[in-house]
Amino acid sequence: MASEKKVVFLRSSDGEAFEVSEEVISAASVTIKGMIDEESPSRADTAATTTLAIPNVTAATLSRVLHYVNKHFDAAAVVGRPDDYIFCAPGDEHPLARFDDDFVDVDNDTLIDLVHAAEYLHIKKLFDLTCKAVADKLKGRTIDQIRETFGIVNDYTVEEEVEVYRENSWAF
Amino acid sequence: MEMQWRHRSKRGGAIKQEGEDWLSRLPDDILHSILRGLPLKHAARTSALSRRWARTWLRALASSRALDFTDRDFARGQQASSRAAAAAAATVSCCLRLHAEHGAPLDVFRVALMSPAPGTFERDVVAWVASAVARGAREVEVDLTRPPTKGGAVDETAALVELPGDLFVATNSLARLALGGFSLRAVPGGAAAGLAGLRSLSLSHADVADEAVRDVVSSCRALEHLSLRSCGLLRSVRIAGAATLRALEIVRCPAVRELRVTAPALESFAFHGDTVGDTVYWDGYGDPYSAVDLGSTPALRDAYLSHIGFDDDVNAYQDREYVYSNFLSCVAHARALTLCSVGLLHLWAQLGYDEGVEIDMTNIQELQLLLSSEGEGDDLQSFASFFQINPLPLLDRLFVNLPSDTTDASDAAAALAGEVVDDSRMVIPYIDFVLDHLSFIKLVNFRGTRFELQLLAFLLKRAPALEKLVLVTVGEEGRAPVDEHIIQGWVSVMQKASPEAQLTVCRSSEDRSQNPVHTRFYHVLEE
Repeated sequence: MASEKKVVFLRSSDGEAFEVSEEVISAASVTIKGMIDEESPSRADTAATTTLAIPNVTAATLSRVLHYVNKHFDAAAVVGRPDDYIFCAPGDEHPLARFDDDFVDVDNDTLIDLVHAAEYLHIKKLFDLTCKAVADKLKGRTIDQIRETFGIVNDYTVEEEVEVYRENSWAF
Repeated sequence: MEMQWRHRSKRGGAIKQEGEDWLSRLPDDILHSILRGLPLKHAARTSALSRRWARTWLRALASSRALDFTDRDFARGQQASSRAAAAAAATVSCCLRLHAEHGAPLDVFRVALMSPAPGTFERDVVAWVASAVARGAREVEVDLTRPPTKGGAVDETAALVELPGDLFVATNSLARLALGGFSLRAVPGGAAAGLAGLRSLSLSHADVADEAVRDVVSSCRALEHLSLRSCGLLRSVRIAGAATLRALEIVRCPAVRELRVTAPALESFAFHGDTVGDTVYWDGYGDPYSAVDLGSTPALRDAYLSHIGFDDDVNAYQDREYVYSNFLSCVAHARALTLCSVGLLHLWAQLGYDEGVEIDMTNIQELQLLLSSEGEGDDLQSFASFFQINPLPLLDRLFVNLPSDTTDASDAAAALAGEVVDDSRMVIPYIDFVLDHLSFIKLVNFRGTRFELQLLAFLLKRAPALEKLVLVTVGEEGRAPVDEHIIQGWVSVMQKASPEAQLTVCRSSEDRSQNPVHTRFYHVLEE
C-alpha cells in the first residue's frame, strides 16, 4: 500500500516536529485532514514531505496525542471494533479501555492541555475521553475540594452564595 | 517513555501559573461537554463554585437535545422541603427557557417532580408540557410524585395538576407520552387528535375517566404500548379496534370492574389489581357474560396476572365464581405466564362448585408463580391442584417466587438439617401427572422451610426431564441464608424423577441463571 509510506510532519508550538502516517492522522483529526486536503494540489508535484504547523499544541501534548492517535486510529494496530469501545461497561474490557484509563491518568495541567488539543485538532473520541476524565475529577469531590484542586476562587458575596444554595437546594 | 512524558509535561506546564484556574477559563462549549458528563446532582453542585459557574451547568443541559430531570437525586432532593421542590421546579422552568433561547431542537423532555402544592407552580408544570409538545419533542415524561405524608405513606389525596383541554388538539411529534399525577378531566373526547403519531402512552396516578381513555386511545391510531397505573377513577376499560396495540399494562387501578379489549396484535399483557367483575352470570341464551373480554389475541407472547395485595380474603372466592378462571382463560394461551397464589386459590376454590372448567394452558413454555404467603395448607393444596388439573405439556421453565417475609404458620418454619420432607400432604386424589418437558426450576427467596421443601419434593417427583434446579437463598431477618450442604442434604433424600439434574444453590447476588420474562413485580412497592 502506497499510503502506508505517506507521512506528514506536525510541528508543535515549541518547534518540535513529529512524524505521523497521513492516513492515520487524517482518520483521527478533522482539522489536520482539512489542512492536508488544502495542501494536496501543490504536493502532488513534489516528492517533498509536508510539514504542518500546529501552533496551539506543545510538543509534550502533541506527542501524547499522537500516541493516542496511533493506538486508536491505526487500522493495523487496532483490534476489535474501535468505535464501540466507549460503550463498553467497565467489566467487559475493550482492548483499549485499559489504555484509555492510563492515558487520562495524568495531572490536571496535562489533562487540560489534552482537552484543548483534542478540541483544536477535532479528534472527537479523544475530546470525549478527556472531558469525561475532567468530569470524573469533579464528581468525587466536595465544593471546597474542587476549588482547591483546580484553584477556583470563590468570588460570591455571602448573599449571592446563599441564593445559589437556595436555588439549587435539591442538589445539596 | 512515561518518564520522558512526565518530564516534558512539567516543562510544558511551566508557562502556567501555579494554581491557576484553567478550568473556569475554558470556553463555554468545552465546559458544557464536561458538565454533560456528570450526573445531574453533581453538575448542579458546581453552581456553588464561583460566579462563573452559577448557571453554567444549566446552560450545559439546555444545550442538549434531551432534557432529563428524572435523576433519582433530583427527586430525592425535593423531598427535603416544599421550598426545595419549588426551587427544583424553577430550575426546570429556567432550563426550558434557556433551551428555547439556545434554539436547539428538543427531542426529549423528562422530569420527575414532587406534586406541587395547590397554587404554587402548577401552571409552570402545564407550561412545560405545552412547551415541550409545541417544540416538537418526540418524548415527554412528567411524573408528579405524591408527597409522602408524615407517616411516610404516600398521600393519595394530593391535588392533581389539571391539563388544559386543548393541549393535544394540534398535530404534534409525540411518540411517547408519560404523565403521572395529572387530571385529564378537562381533556374532552376527541381533543387528542394531535396524538395520532403516539406509540406509547402511560398514565399513572391520573384522574382520567373511562370515556377519556377510550377516546384518547381511539385517537392514537399508531399506539403500541398503553400503561394505566393507579388510575382510581377507572371502572370500565374499553379499548376497541386498537389494531397496533402490542403491550397493555393495567396496574393498581382498584375500581376497575370491567375490561373489554379488542387488540388483535397484542403481544404482552400485564394486570395487577383486584379481580375484575362479580360472579359471572349467564344471559338468557345460556352464554356466560363476563366482565373480562380480551377478544382474540393470537400473538400473545407473555401475560402477567396478579392479585397479590388485593382480594386476599378467602371468602371472596365464593362471591366471585368463575371470575378468575374467566380472566385467566383470556391470556392462558401465552407462551410465558406469571400467576400469583391468590389466583391459584381462586382456581382451587372453583373446584368446590365446578370441577368441569378447563383452561387451555398447553402453549405455556414458561410459568412463574408468585406466592404471597406460605405455610397455609390451602397454599400447598392450591399449588398441587393447579398442576393436577391443568396439563402443561410444553412447560420448559418454572419459576417460583417465594414470599420475602415469613408467616407464623408451622410449615413456614425452617426444616431441620437432615430432615426428610416429602409431598405427602399435597394430596393428589386420583389423577397424577408428569411435567415431561420441564428442564429448569428456579425457586427464589428460598429459606429452607418445610413449605418450600414440600413444593420442591412435589415438583422433583414429576419432572423427569429436569436438567437444572436453582435455589436462590435469602437470609431471614438479617440472618445468613441456610447452608448449602444442609440444602443438598434435603434435596438428596427426595424422590426424584431425574436423578441427574444439577442443583445450584446461590444468593441473589451470585445468581447467573436464566430469569423469567417478568422480573418486575407490581406487588413489591417501588422505591
